[in-house]
Amino acid sequence: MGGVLQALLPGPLRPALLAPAAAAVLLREAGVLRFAVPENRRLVPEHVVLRGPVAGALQFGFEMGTGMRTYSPSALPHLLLAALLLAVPPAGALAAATGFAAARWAAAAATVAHDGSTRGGSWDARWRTAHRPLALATALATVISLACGISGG
Amino acid sequence: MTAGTAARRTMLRPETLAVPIAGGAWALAGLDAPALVMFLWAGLNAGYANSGST
Repeated sequence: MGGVLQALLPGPLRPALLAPAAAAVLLREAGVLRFAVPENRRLVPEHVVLRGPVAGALQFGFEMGTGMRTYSPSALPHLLLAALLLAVPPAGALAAATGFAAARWAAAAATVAHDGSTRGGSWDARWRTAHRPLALATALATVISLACGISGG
Repeated sequence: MTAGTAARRTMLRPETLAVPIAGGAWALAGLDAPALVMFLWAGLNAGYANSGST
């Protein structure tokens, strides 16, 4: 899909669309701007997990990992998606998706290992306390990574 | 809580995990890493930032 859009849009227009989006997301994550981003504000229902350790886990992971049924506390996935559509080549999209999935897994695994259970109360509480610096640090890192990848690709 | 458990919990804190994830982007940019690695790191940061919903 990104390849089609990139073929249709003139080269100079693509970074011209992406740069203001990156700036807006940076300001949002820094707490300067406030605007909502598209999100499907629903949780994966419990009956999905009860489908079994393989099928249930796969469906749960797919629905939450892809944002089909979850909340989105950050605008960075939306910025990443915009970059994939406008400027990132197919191989780069695969790399970005791999990184995204790895981080989602790492956070879930860290929650369990930190708290000793899947409830995640303590880890989540620490996350909420450090939310703003975490949001800003990851936003800056995402933008610098995308900028370097796009300019070097 | 044992010292080992306390150390493990410290290493697993969200802000501790963020150091290599967010800091790694700057290090890789400084090292002129290949574009694919930078895209992987962009995904890593976007995914980690979204983990407040886990």
